[in-house]
Amino acid sequence: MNGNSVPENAGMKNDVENPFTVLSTDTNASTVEDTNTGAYINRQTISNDSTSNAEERPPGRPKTDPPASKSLTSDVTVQMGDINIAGVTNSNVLNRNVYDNDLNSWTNIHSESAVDGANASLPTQVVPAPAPRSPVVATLAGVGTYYGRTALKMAGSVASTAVTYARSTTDNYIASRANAVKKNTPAASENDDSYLAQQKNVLASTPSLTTADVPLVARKDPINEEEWYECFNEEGQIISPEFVRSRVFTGGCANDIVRRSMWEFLLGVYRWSSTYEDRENESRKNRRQYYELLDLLNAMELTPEEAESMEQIDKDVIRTDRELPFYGDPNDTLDSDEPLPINLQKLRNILGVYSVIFNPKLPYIQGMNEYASAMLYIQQGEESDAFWCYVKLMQFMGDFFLPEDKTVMNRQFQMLMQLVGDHSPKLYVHLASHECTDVIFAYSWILLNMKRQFPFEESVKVFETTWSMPMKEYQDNRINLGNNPYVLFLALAVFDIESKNMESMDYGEILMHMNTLSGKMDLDLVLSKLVVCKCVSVSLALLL
Amino acid sequence: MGMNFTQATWFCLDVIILGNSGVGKTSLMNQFVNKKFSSQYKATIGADFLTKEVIVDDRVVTLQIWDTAGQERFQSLGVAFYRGADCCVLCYDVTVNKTFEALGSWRDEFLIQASPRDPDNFPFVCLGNKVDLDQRQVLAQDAQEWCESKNSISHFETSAKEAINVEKAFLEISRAALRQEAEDQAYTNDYSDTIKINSNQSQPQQADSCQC
Repeated sequence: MNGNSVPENAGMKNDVENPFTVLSTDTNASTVEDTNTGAYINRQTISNDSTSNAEERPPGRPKTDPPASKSLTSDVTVQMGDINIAGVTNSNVLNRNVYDNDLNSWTNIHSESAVDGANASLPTQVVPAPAPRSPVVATLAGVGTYYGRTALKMAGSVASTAVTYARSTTDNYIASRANAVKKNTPAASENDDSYLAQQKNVLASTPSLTTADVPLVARKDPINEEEWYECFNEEGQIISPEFVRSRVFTGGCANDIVRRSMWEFLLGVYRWSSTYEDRENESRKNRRQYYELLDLLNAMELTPEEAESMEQIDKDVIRTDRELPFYGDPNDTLDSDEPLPINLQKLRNILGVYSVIFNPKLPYIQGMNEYASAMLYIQQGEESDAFWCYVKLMQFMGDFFLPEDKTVMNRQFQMLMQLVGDHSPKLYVHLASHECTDVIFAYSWILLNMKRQFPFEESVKVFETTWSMPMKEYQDNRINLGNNPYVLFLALAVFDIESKNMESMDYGEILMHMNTLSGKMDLDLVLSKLVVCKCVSVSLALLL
Repeated sequence: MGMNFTQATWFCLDVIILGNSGVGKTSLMNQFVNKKFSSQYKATIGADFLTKEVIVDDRVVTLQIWDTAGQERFQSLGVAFYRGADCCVLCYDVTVNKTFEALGSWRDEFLIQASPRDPDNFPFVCLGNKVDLDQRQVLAQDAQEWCESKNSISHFETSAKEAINVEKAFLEISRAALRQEAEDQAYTNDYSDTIKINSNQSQPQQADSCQC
């Protein structure tokens, strides 16, 4: 590895601060005539000397690594070294045309599987490779076209060609061939340059996850009120935050009474060490401040941008969790001339106060309504309490919503696909060959922490489990849940449950299938699969 | 015209629905596919997808409809399935002028991302939704004029809620998509014929299956 020191958490930050993002920009996208399909194929690819990179690839993660974000950080170092070697210093690895370099091997591959490979010349959103140790990769290396994650990413077309090669059959060749012919026009990759530049940045800051990071934990009984009250000392301080967190992680809250106060601690509205008195003062102060902000919102004249934010909020508030009786009659169409049901009005207030006044840097984005709604519901309609929970939540989820910046989400997708490649190579190959590695159906899973996948009352358990995931560097009031990979493990469990189905589906069918599961997934099943997904388990025992 | 496909050919047509948030994209799709309207749809995050078999000019085709998120932030997400679309549906809300004004940029965005072979003649269909509401802001005539200025885009005023014109609009969408697909195939077939000279490999014939 190189000798550069990597700042703590570098991998978690936006690419601009990343010391390793200076990558070559002279991408040689070349348009080549494909003699087999008659389509133009834009190939952006790499040399075929795979071995040198294979050697530089970081070794598999030690099985003893805990799932803490600390371990992610250390992994980032390794990963970035990999990128440095594959993507920057060894510039001839990139931007070469396999067609030129190795006509024979390319043609061999291509004649078997032209089409999916051709399709892959579209800049796919995310095309990470499976982790190096998966059998698929061995196959790929065998045909001389696997060059490690970085290169594969840059090289969409050939990598995917090779993937297809590994599973190609006559039937899907014919079917998919038509598709390639249809989709490959000479103008196919106009945006490749900027896209690649962006992807390089994403890559350079992507920590690596493996299934070894999946925390294995047997579900225990949820915390009921009695147990929860015993967690406080006489002054009202939490005696052992670690214990509470581990209990929530393994069991969740038994009911919404426990949940209401628990969330305020988990999210950091109140410090674990705060006393009853502290919290009373804090609460009073918070309330006063919130209602001042709300008055301001109602009194002020909005700029066009702010007005736009409020318009979008108005559109979304009336379609947020309407199945809950909490928000009134679900069949009421709520015409704009009638006042909103009380709790929808509160939801509107919270979103407006936050995005227009409290944190204008983070304008309202669709999906935020889902979180604010959960806060309001769990805080039993208490607007100010819900607002401050939402504020804390946005401190770590805000990055996921940043407009114009898809880095955070792309990184999540990439980690997810690494996990899939690691856990289910067969499924990974299927997804890759169907251009599904952008897993767009998983977009809302990650953005909303699976909220829409489960019935509402289950989704709140997913939230608290996520927020209480043991993180090594956790300290009172120093949480950085944005780096929390738990939702990815849940997603992996869903992939595991659905892999049989997915393997017979194409892109659209998978999207449709996954969307029909919305709100219907079985949390217990997913959690039980989480355990199965785990290859080796050590992590939790070390942390609890 | 090169539309010489056989009866056995089964077409899958990709249709993508674009338009501002809240104009009713998901509702239109569901009304057409499932004959249902719900006031409880959630904002689309990411994308949605439904298919339906329709009969267009005595031909059975499978319509694959891609529903997208309307808020700007998600725009570049769907790039992967912009490509290969056979028809693009531009939606606005007749009660919100702004949604109509945005159609131009949605159209441009699509053409940039999808880069169709012949952008000037790529089929768009424009739907003004929510005609069941009284607070109309966009006049049918204005919309019509705009559509004509854009190389005669077909225009329909619809109500996903009351199922007004939805069926009719989607029939036109299917027809336009089929035309586009046929032309694309004719183009690529002509094209690959010339290439095939150099190839010993036999050209697999279009199978009697969905080609997508």
